[in-house]
Amino acid sequence: MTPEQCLDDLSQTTVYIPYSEPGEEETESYSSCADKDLPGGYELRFDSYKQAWAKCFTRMQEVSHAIYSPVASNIVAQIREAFTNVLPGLPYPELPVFAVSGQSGDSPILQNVVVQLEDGNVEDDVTPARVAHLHPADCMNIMLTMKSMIHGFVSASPEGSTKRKSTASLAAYDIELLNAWYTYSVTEQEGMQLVVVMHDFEQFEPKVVQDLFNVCSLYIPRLPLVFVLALSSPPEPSYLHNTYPRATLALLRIHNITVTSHVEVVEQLLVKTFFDPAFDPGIMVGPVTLDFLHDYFTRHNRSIDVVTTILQLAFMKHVDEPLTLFLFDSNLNCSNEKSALRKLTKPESFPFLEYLFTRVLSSQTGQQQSRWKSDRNDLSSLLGVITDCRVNFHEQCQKFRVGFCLLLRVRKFVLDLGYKSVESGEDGESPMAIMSRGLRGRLTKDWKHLGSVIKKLNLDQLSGLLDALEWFFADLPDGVFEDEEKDRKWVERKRASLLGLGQASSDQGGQAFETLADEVGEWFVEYSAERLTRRLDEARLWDIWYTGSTPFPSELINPAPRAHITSALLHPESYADQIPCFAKSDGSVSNDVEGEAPAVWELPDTSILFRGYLEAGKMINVFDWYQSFAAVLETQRDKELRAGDQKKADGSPCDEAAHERRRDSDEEEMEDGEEMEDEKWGMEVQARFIRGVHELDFMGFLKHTGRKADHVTRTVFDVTEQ
Amino acid sequence: MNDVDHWSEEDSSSDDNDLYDDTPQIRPQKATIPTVLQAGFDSYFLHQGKVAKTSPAVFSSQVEPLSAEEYADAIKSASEKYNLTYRASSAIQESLAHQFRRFLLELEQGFNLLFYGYGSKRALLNRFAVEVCSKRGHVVVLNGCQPKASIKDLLTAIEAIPAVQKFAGSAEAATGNSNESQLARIRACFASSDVKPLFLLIHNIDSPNLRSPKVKSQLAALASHTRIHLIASIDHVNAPLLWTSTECSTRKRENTDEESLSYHVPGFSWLWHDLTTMASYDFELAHADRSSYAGASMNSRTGRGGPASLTAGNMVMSESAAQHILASVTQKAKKMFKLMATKQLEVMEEDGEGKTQDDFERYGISYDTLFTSVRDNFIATNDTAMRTLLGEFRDHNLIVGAGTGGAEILWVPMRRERLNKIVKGLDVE
Repeated sequence: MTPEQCLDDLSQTTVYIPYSEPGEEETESYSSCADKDLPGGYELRFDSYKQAWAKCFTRMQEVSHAIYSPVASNIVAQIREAFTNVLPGLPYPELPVFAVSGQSGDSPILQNVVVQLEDGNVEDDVTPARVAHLHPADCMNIMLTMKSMIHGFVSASPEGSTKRKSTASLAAYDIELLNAWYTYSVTEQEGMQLVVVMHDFEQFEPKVVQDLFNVCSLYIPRLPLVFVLALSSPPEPSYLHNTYPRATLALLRIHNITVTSHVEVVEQLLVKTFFDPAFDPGIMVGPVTLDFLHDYFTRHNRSIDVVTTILQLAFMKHVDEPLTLFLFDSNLNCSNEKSALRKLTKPESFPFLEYLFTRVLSSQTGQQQSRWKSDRNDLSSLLGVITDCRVNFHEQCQKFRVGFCLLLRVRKFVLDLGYKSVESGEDGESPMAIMSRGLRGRLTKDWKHLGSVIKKLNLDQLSGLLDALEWFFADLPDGVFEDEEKDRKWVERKRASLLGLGQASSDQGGQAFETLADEVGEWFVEYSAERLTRRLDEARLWDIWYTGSTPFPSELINPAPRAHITSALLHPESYADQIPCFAKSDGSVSNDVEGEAPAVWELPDTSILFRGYLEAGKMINVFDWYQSFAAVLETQRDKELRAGDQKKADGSPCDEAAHERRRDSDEEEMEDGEEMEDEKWGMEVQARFIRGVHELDFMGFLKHTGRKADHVTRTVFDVTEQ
Repeated sequence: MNDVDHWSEEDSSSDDNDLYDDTPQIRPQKATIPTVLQAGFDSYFLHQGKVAKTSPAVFSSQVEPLSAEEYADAIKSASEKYNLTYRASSAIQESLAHQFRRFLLELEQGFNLLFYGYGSKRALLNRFAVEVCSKRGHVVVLNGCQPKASIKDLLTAIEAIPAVQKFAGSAEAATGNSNESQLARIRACFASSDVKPLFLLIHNIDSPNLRSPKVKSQLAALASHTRIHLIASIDHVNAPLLWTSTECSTRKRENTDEESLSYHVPGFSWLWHDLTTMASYDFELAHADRSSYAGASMNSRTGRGGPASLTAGNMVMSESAAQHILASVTQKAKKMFKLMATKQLEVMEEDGEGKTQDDFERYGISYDTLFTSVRDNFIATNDTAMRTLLGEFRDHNLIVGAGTGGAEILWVPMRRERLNKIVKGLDVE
């Protein structure tokens, strides 16, 4: 049997389709806009996307690592001391428990901790710890919990994974097994700790965890067991204290650890990836994506993975635009310009070329346009224009980044001084909101306000600010450092004169200081205005490097499947190309209701039933439902018969007499056949009803409570436009 | 998920101001706008507050169930006359097929794909598996909609792939036949870049067999592997509730070296795609019992044959099924059945006609009484013979019982009219 046949075999639950070498005719290339795309363009653009994304992703990982690793090291140090640094005089040893709050399942911090624990520390001669992971799904009862914990430790070591004789060995859930294994292993690795990480701690059954703690506390410090609990709830009120009885808590020595909130981490990630003059992400994200990210992150799911996913999807969506082929170079992924030109002049590339030409033309000034129109064949200079645009965009982008970072720096400085007024703004002014406003070119108010605050600073404060500015310019990467030479020098000069003022007499100095503060304020306003007023989407061909206001494809991660199903059931006509009931199986269509919403009898069976479902109360009597369905089908049948008669009358204008004769003879047969026909029709109606009900049942619209004979309960009460 | 209804209220601030304003004003007449827009939960409470007004008619007593053949014939003849379901426009189908390449790239970027929307997605996804995925690696398809499908089937099927078999034979592979050891072997096998990646296509990952936390975590362990790509479909309206937002979003960890790092967080990293095909669910429902309106429900499917499901009124023996059973038993057994059925009919008739006769247990006969009359009629002379005769009927649920030993109550789970017909049929013979 071929795999294709197997796939339709009802008796097979699984089918294996072996790997086959891709043939000559590969699946056709995907393109969201085939009319203006290069053949195979999507794949080429996808390569550019991969390059850009890999760069960004690495950067994000570096940043998150830099944020998390000191915190993780701190936790690891505490874990290592768990058995050496104990309170003296305790009546019994306590089980060390580290409750790390605010963790979602994919937290990078735990990953960091585990890596550091398992690595050990060669310099300090620390033995690597053994780590076992417990997930709620594996811990339905204490036996399974013990088993997976012991298995986690024992199986990870080579000596533990050897097959043991079941008759001559301890049970897999017996902690004595762990004890025996540990006694054996510790001879080789002295001071080895056993760390148990419990993921999604709130999901564990408390009774099971109580037993686990009880059993383990009996074996410490013989077995140096340390528990790390990943809690997603906040540290206050404490989940542990609310859920577990005093008897259990008394066994534990709880260390509460609160990690930097994810919001701050994300803000840093975004600033360091997209707004850092030292890093060029390749594709710049636009304000719409940032807004969506902010909204989704704060409302639905506070995890770093979500941020990665959203940015990655925004990048992927960005390369749908055919022109993003020029993301990194103008050579269309060819080795040199010549072959790129050859590619462009192929007939199948003409739609793309036409599109490219229109776009480039519209981005030019009038004079250039006329020159372009006169010489359409000069493809080389066409590519040259794109290269120019790329350089321009990157310059503008870099300037924006520097300006934005400076604004953030000054804002932070002023905020630290206690000027809360600079914070007043929309959205509670999280840096994410400022980023989005900055990209929209709506920061004028902010820099003007900051400028006026600078003018009011006193001598020490201004000197601190100028110090900060000097540091800012000194930290800029090489390429940018030279560009900012003028302003850097200006700041240096002002700082020097400020130092001079400090030594001058008070009267003269006061006036000169005011002038200086005014100058710095003015300079800041001018500097920001120069860099932040012009929006990135005002650059030529900006949409190649900047996602701008392109809507984010949110349905990819936050869909509305329920609404989709109900709307498909209610308005099937919007998904279908023909109204079925008049359409015979030969495909011919005989209705004239195009564009109008079809009547109930024109809908497919399941949709007819669904209309009845929505009109019913909380419970539906199946028989009532059946009758209403049968009535609709009766209408359908009548209409169909009438349409059939009409067709006959129109189609074959045979002579009346012959028609009359035939009708007489037919009548007798019909009376006999009618009964049969009716019975058959009844069965058809019933079968169609059962089929429709089963479909709705399959999709979860019905609940069989058995509370009333042959009644079903509705599960969906959505109010929908009908 | 996004399925949140919005609540809107008319702004009442202007009314508050009016309380303190005594000057008479002529207000422009407002058009009557509904002040509160009804949302899903309002509608729920609205319905809960009302008494459900439905007729007392009972479907299964009014309408005779169709046998499997009758159903198939009826649907066949109806579909010749009408197109029973919309065929999703060919343009939609084609545009979906056109996106195969994109789906593949998304899979390769570390996402798993989840398809939702009304209509069977089997055909299209199978096409995706055969045309695209199989050119990139091994493909295993699991028909989750089948009542017997389980995670074990999936793991066994993956282990039957020659490359995995070869790996399982090697020294470094974990031993054992538990799901966990199988998972460990599969994960280790696909970690090596010598083996082609694995594409798992699971139709109806929301099927009851795959919903339990245990199975979910095992599927997540597969889904979170960088070289195992999961493609799945859901049809249940509440299926998105199966996964927490963390499970939905947890990404695959790149470059995770299984040997050195024990840390891996299972998750699905779903990307959702709407795949409304409007196609009928005939394949998915092929195992449903078409003789009952509740046949598609998994509860009745798993509980089939048990007395509990029969007394619940969901399952009744159809006439043709009873005839089939009776045709294949001995004369003595037939006689015994007739005797028992006649007695049951007598009780039923005494009970009156108007009542719904769902609770068949009330009309049952005790084992001892039946045995006495069977012995009197020389059908069975001892208890063993009697039990042998009953055995065949019990196996096919034509006779069911509750209780044990001599105090057991036996009855035929059939409505009076049908039982009457059967008895008459036996008389004719």
